[in-house]
Amino acid sequence: MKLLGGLLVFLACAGSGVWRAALIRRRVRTLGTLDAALALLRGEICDRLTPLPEAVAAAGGAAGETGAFFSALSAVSAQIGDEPFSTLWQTAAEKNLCSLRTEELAAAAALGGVLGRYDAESQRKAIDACRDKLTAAYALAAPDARSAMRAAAGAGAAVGLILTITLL
Amino acid sequence: MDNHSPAIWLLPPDLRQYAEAFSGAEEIRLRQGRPPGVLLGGQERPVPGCRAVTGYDLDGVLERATGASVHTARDSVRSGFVSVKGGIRLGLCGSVITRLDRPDGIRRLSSVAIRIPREARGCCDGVFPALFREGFANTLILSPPGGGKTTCLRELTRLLSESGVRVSLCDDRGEVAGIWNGESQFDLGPHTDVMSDAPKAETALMLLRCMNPQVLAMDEITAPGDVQAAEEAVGCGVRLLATAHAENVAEFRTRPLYRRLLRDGVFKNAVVVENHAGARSYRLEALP
Repeated sequence: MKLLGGLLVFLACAGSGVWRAALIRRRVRTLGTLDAALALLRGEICDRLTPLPEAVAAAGGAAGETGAFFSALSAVSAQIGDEPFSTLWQTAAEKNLCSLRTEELAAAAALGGVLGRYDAESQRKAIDACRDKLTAAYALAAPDARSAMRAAAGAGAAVGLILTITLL
Repeated sequence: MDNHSPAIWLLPPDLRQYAEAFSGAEEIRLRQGRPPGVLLGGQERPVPGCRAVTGYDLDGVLERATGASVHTARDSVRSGFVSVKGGIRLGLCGSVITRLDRPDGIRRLSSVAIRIPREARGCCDGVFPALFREGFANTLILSPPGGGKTTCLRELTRLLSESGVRVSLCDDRGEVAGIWNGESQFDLGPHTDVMSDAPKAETALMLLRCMNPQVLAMDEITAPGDVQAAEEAVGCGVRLLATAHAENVAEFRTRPLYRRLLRDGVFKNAVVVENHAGARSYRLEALP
């Protein structure tokens, strides 16, 4: 019985470490895909003058959280008019871009206040400013991601092991 | 066609219920810091119970009108208006951005006029037979701004078209036909071709070259280029149907821009749109 309890404690701690490692991986991935999707959005809006709902739908093909964000936004774009686009954007960002840090999410959410509301040049500047922040965050996170993931998973397992030995 | 509901939808959600009562409104006018007003029978009156309009409200109206895509309407915003589905037109006013000494956009909106067009089928039934009796002659529609020229032009275009005449319409601001996704939002008859969203003077020549019209319809002759295009059309043997700002023929004669047209006898008839306490009447006058 004691052995089984110890095993469960170890598995829980190791699982938490793996979950933490997955979160790090997801954040790095989201930073990268969001930057790419914003580049696509920039081209659609500023160069092709595509209406925003269509541009958002085009970005819906991105992977992971970014794709979920743009797909969710595209699904509610029929509500533009009853709700300001900025509110729809912010709600979709907060619901879907969960792995981003507070400041990264704030930068992404704030972009909704400019998109579709101003001329193409103003939108280009706002997208570029947002992308600069995301790129900087990605540049910091990506090189260390693998080691951070290993560290998180290892720390979880180690804590689990120590706890198990102590309990036994 | 009822364009009242789509026009109401453009308003901020909390102001819609107040404006809904004014179903016959010709325009809804929003000015920052003031409650909204409606234009009814040529008279503007405030919408009772409404709060003052804010700059955020005006931006929201533009956002709804463009489907959150102001960048797609940049050329028309530069000219101070945005066309909306149903032939509704937003007139924009605010702080103008200039580039190379020319207006390049509007930065901060201070007021918005939502113009609600209506088909007035049958409004020209009284004058049309007289216009068509001896073959259609070049005709000018006169009224002050907001007096019903465009409605009259739309109706005469439809009647001509239904009589089997090929009509080409220069609709530079999209107000006459209200083209949306290539389809006219108003009934302009079976033989009407519309060229929209470009200066009249140029589209008139394009239509003459490409569409072989029997009648060329133009809304608002306001610039020397429009006068020249009208003269060229007449030179090609095409009949003209156009509108101009003037209370009546006497006032029309005083306008320097139109003197050449009068001197050369380009127009033979004038349909004068008169407003009497909100009711419009149409009077035909021969131009010497």
